[in-house]
Amino acid sequence: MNAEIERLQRHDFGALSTFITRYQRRLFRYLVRMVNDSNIAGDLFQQTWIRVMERIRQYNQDKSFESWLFSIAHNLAVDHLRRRQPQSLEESEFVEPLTCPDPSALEQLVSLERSEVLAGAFSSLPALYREVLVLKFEEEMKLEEIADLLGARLSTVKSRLSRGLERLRKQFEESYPQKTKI
Amino acid sequence: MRTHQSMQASLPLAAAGELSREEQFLVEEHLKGCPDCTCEFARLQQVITELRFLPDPRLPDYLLERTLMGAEQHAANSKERRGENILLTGAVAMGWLSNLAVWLFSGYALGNDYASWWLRLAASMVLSWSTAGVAAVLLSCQRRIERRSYVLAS
Repeated sequence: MNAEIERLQRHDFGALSTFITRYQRRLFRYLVRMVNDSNIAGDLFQQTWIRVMERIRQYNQDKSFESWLFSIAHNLAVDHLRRRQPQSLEESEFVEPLTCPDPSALEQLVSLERSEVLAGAFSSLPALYREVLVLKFEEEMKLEEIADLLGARLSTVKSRLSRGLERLRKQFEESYPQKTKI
Repeated sequence: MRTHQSMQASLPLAAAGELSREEQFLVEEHLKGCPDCTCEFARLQQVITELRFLPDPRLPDYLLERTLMGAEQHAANSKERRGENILLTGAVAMGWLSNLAVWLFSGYALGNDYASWWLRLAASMVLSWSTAGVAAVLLSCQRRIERRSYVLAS
């Protein structure tokens, strides 16, 4: 990894290609979850790597490259959300229209639909909560890492995780009540 | 003794496995005697499990290629800007140095009386404008060379 970082610091585009290939799925997924739009996520993805190349000499190799990369993407996504709608970090700025098919179709496609409904409920959460949930459950980061990446206190991250999960559960149950009763 | 409400508030973090061992133990003890919290806890766990398996968004076509091309273009533009900045800094430094040299030399040659001050000032002005002209010509030559190499490369 260190040798690859050094190649990147020499602005070797072959090394950049290796890094993009390695992280593209996760980084793109994170950006889509943040901005709820794959076209914008694509632009932010490109800007993230441009910024990586600009700042790679400032990267401290004692820290994880992954966290550094995601913190760059986080800053760009937050800037975008603030430009688009100043309050969008706090409030849900985009709600995917959810269509609930009739019960017979539900019987056939239960698991696929559940995950579609969950994805819809997830995308309607405020970006602050979505971000922590993505980093925790999809990227499997520790809360300390997330706090470091977001530049927030651990207690703040815990509170966002707790509220995010609670809101997601409620919204999921409202969108899909018949299948969430245990 | 913790209340039902405080236990209920701890359920999301308990389901995420982010409580300390003691707190987790307290929540588990509470769950044994509270069907409402047990039900909510199970739902939270279910949501977390499904959250881990949300379908990934499809990667756009040519994302890697587009990103690489964008990064290369950005690097080329930065290099060009750096070159221009170096040229401009050099021209400004040269202008100041030559002005200073003319001022000192003309002072030595013409003396320091009031009439020669105007001559010296005029010479400095001419030199400043000449330097600015040379810098502009140099920059335009550089741009022309870059445009030519870009056309040849493409």
